[in-house]
Amino acid sequence: MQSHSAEIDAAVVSDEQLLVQVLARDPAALRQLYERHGSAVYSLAQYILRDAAVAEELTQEIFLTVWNKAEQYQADYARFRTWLLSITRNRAIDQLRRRRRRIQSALSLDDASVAEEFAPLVEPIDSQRELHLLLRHLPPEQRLAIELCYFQGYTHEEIAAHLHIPLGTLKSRILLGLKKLRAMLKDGDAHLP
Amino acid sequence: MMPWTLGVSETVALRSALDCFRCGGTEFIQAIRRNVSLEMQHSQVQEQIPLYAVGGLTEDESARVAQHLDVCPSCRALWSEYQFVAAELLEHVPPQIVPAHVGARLLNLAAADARRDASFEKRRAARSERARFWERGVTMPRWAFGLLAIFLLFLFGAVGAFAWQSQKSNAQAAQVQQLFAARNLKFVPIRSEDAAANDKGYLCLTAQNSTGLLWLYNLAPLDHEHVYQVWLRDNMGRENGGTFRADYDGRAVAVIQAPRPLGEYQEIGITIEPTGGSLAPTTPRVFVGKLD
Repeated sequence: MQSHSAEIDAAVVSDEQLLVQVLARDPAALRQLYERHGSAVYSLAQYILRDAAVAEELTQEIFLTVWNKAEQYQADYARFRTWLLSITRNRAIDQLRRRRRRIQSALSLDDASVAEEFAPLVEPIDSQRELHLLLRHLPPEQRLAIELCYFQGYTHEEIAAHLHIPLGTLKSRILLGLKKLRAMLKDGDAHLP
Repeated sequence: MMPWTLGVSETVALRSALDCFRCGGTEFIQAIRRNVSLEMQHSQVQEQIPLYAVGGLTEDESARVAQHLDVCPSCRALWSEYQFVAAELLEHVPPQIVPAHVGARLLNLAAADARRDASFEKRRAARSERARFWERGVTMPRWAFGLLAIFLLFLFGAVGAFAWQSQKSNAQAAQVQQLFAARNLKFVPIRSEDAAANDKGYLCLTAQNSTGLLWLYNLAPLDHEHVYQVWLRDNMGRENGGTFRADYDGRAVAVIQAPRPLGEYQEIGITIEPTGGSLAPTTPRVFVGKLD
């Protein structure tokens, strides 16, 4: 293992090359990938789940997926980091939805103990979060629409119903927000942090 | 209405339709219809692409967009731009410091896993080496298998015979023990047919027991082709009582196993017979004892 570690030069070796070494069961390669992307994965998990302990577990789970199923990554479709963050988002949102279902069934059964247990973990639909570094550049209504759709996994119907706006208005807000973001990113990140 | 902007595939289709127009006319109209339909679909899909990139469409809508993306390069380019927006959204969450124990735990798990894999690989290699050994074994010549079979047969036979002999000896020892424990134990003198000779020994027996212990001395030594054979006689005839040999000093101790209790016989006789014993005496009697 030590010899492998010595071979891995963080500045030279690409993520894809490290993945090949992960496929050969080299823990040093996984360490490199974790050092490169662990913080981004954890930050995203924490941002979506709002729970440090659960975010830690999810981070570990994501990297264990890389360790055990590295062959699932397809370099033709996306960069490794993009793939990693996508699966982080998908799994975090799955967890959020499961929590919501549990708390909804607990509330329907009038099970106060379960409801209390999960209440802090379920993000209220229109709560203020720490502002997203890109979304902060959008008007509040567009920011909220994208936030709820993309980071909290609500359906358009759920969001529209909760915000008491027509479905078409919600879609327009999301579309406008995304178009603005696209324009900003095309401008070479001039307005971005 | 937006002006038409034809992509490569549409241009090719239109050119082929124009060729058809030179020949006929209906195909040209159909091609125009196809392109109009494609253009309508194109404008709808373009509007949906941002939502498609952030996973905000229903399954049906997503399937329609995916189908269109397969044939429309310009929509694919737009989709790629929104994929970039979606990826950047994931990148620009407020940064958090990941606790050190998360990485430590993960890497410990991976290292343990790798060690387990390495050990598994080692075991698998050893297994395949063993498998190769047996494969080589299977290709041994037939004569080697024949020899092996004969050896095994001999081995099992020897083990079986030993076990049988051992079982027989144990049974005899138990019977002799039972014999000596009996209160009415008799010692019958065994004499030579030659009247001048001395007593040759005794047969210890009880009337009710079919086992007796024969103790003889001063016997003439026999070659390997001959043994002494015991005969038990009653009014009806004669029965075989077994064979024995004397040691180098001319002594013999033999267990007599009769078919019936020894009290039912009148006389014991001993002859010299070929090794393995005979069905009936083939030589004159050399020793005799009266049982009644």
